[in-house]
Amino acid sequence: MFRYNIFLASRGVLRHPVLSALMAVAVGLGIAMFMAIFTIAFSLSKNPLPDKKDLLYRVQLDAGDPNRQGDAASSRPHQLTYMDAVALMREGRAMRQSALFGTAAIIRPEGAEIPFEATGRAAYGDFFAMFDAPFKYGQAWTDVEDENRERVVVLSEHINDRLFGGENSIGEHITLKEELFRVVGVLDDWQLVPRVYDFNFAPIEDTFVPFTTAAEMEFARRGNTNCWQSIPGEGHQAFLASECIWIQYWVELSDPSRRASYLSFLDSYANQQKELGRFQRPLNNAIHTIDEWSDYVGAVDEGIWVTIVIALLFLTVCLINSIGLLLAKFLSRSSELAVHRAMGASRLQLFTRFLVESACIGFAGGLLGLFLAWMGLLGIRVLFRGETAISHVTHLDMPLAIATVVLAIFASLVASLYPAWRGSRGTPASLLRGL
Amino acid sequence: MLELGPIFRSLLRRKTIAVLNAIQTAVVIAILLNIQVGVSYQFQAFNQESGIDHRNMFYIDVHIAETDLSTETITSIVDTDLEYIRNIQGVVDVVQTISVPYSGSGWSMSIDVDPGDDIQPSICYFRLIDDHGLNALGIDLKAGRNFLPDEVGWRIPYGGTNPNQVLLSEQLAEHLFPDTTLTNVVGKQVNLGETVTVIGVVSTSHGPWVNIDKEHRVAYLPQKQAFDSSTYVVRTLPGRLEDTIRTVEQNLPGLYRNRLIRNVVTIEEAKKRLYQGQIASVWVFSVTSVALLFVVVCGMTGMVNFAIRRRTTHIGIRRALGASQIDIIRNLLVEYSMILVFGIALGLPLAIGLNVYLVSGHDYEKLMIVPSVLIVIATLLVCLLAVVFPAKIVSRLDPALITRSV
Repeated sequence: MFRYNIFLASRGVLRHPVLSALMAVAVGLGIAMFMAIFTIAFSLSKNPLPDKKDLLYRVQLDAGDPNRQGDAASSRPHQLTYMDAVALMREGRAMRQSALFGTAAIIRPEGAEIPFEATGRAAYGDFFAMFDAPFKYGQAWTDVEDENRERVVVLSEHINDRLFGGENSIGEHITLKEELFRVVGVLDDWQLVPRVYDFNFAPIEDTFVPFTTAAEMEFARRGNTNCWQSIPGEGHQAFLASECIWIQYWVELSDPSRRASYLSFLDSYANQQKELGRFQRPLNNAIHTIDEWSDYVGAVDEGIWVTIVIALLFLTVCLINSIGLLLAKFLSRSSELAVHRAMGASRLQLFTRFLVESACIGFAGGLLGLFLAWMGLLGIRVLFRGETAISHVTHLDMPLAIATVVLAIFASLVASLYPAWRGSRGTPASLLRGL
Repeated sequence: MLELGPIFRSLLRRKTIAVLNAIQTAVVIAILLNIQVGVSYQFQAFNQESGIDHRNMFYIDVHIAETDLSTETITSIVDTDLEYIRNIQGVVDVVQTISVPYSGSGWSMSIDVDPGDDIQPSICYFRLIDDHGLNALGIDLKAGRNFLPDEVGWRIPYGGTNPNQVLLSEQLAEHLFPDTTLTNVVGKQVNLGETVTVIGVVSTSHGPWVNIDKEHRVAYLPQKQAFDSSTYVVRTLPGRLEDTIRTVEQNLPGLYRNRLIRNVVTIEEAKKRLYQGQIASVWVFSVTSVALLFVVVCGMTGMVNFAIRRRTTHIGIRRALGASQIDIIRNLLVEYSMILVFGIALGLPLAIGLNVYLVSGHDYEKLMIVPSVLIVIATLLVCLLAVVFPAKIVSRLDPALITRSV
C-alpha cells in the first residue's frame, strides 16, 4: 500500500511539474535561510563547556572609579587589578583558580626563519584543567612552576607544527622575549568557540606562559586596560601596584552550592581592602557562570536575534506560499480524485495520498535547502574572509543536515494539511458530473 | 469604471487563495520594512565621513624584537624612521601615532571639564601626534593652532605625565563645551587626570573602532612614543600609495636590523576589515529580500494561474459578450490589487508591531516613513507583475473554444 502511495505521489508530482518545482523552491529557500541563520546563532550562543555550566565562575571585584555612575551591574569593572588578582590567587579559596591576561611575544625560532609574533596568554597552571584544554603531548605546568616563575610554555598544536613539525617537543626550548622557555605541553586541536575565558570569537592563543613569569618579564598586554587613576610612580612595578584594571579572573568550584560562600569570601576581601582605603565604592562584587557572563557582556550580537526573527518570518511566507500552491495542485485534480472515490477509495486514503505527495516535494525542497544553506554559509565565510571563529561556526554538520531535510518534510506536511483536507472532501457525484 | 463592487463580491465567493495571498503580502511587507531600516543603518555606519584623506593613506606596525632597549635607542630609531619615510618621493607626511582610524586598536581615556563634579566623565579616543600629525592624517585646524615642534615630547611605557596641551576634535569640543563657539574653546582647561589647556580644535575624524553612534570624540596630545612597537601613518600623493608601501616595506627593516613589520594596511582595507560585520549583514539582508521577492512572485504566479484557469469559462463568456482583452486584464489587476491592498493594510500594523518588538528587545532601528512607503509601492508593483502574465495568457484564449462546453 505504501509503495502504491509513493507511485501515485510521484505521478502527482510529475503531473504539475511547474507547481511542484515552485513549491520545492519555496520550501528550499525558506529552510535554507532558516538553517543557515540557526547554525550561526546556535554555535555563537552555545556554551562550549556544558559540563561546567554551574562550576566555572568569572569573578568581578568592584575596585573601580568611585565617581563612576550607573547601576550596580553596569558600573562594575569586568576585570581585576593585578594586586587583587594576586591576592585572590594567594588565598586560593576555590578548587581551581586562574588569573589571566592576553599577551603577545616574539618567537625566535632556531635556524634561518625570521622571528615572528605569536599570540599568548598568561595563566596559572589550573587554567588548562578548568577549561578542559586537551593535551597532545605533555601536560600543564604545576603550582611549583607558578610559584618559582619558571620559564615554561604550553604551545598550541598550530605553533608546534610550525616550530617542531608536529613532533613531540616536550623538553625542547623556544625563545620568547629573548629568554629560553622549556616546552612542557602541546595542546591538541583545541576549539573553544566562543573563547569563553576572555569572551570573544578570537582563536585560542599560540602560547601559554605562567602568569607570574609573564608579570615578572613584563609581557605585553593585549586587551583592555582601564586606569581610572593615574599611576603613582613610573615603571612596571608602579603599574602592577596601581589601580589599573586589566586581569580576567576565573574560579572553578567543587560544587555549585559553594557559590554563595565564595561570594561572601569576595565580600570579606573587599571589606578588608576598604579598611586600607581602597574599594571606595559600595560593596558590589559578583560571580557569573559562563552563560550568565555571556549575557552580561552581551557576547552574542543582538543582530543575530533580529536575523532569526526575520528568518522565521521568511519561512512562514514560504509555507503560506506552499499552502496556496498545494491547494492549486490538489483542487485542479478533483476529477481524477472523483474517479478514485467512485471506485472505492476512502477520504482517508485520498488524504494520505496528498500528504505523501507533499512529503515527497518537501524532501526535494529539503535537499535543495541543504544545498542553498551550504552556499549561504560559504558566502558568509567569504564575507568574513576566513576568520577562524566565523569559519568554525559556519559548517553544516551531519545532525544539522538531517534536521534540515526532516524540517523541510515536516513543514511541507503542515502546509499540506488544509489543502489535503479540501482536496479529499468533495463528493464524487458532484465532481464526476463535470467530467 | 473599475467595477469594484462586483469584483469584491466575486472575491468573497472564492476566499481561500485571496486570503492566502493577502496574508503572504502582509508578512512580506513586515519583513521588508524591517530589513530596510537595518540595512540603511549598517550602510550609514559604513559610509560615515572618515574625516581623513583615507584614499591615500596606509599604516605600518613595526616591532623591535629586543628587550632592555634604552629609551634613547628607541627615540633615535623612531626619529630615523620618520625622517626616512618623510623624504620618500610621493609621501605627503608621516606621523607616529596610536588609535589609528579604523585600525581596531586604540587607547581611550575619560575627559571632563570640571574634576570632581557629579557629571559622568566622557570617554574619548586619544592620539599621540607630533607637529606633523594633522598634515599626515589630513585633518584641518578649525580654531587655535597646531602643536609646535618644541612642544612635542616622548611618551615612555608605564606612565610619564601627560603633556599640558591638547587639541580636541570638533565633536569632542562641542560635547564638552556645548554653549561655546569653537574659537572660545581655545584656552579652556580640561581634565585628563591632570589639567591641560586646549590650544586648538581640529576637524572630526573616524575613531579606531566601529562607530555606530557616530560620535568621533578624539583628543590629541603632543607626544611621540618610545615603545618597542610603533605605528606609522603615512599619507601619500594621489596615485602613489602602492609604490610608497612597497618602498617602505622594503627599506624600513634596513634602517634597524632587529625588527618585525607586523602589519601594512591601507586605510581603505582597514575600514573594510573593521566593518566586516556591517558589510556581511547588509549582504545577508539584501539576499534575504531578493529571495523573499522571488518566492513571492513565483508563488503568486502559480496561485494566480490556477485561480484564473478555474475561471476560464466565466472569462470566455465575458469575452463573447463583448469584453476586450484589455478589459479582462484590467479586471484581474483590479481584483488582485484589492487583495494586495488588504495585504498591505494587514502588513503595516504587523510591520510596526515587529518593529516595536525589535526596537524594545534588540536595540533595533525605528521604521522610517518615506522608505517604507516606497517599499510598499515597489512590493505592490512586483506582485502585480506576477498577475499580469497569467492574466495576459488567459485573456488571449479564444472565447469560442472556451465556451464550447457550456
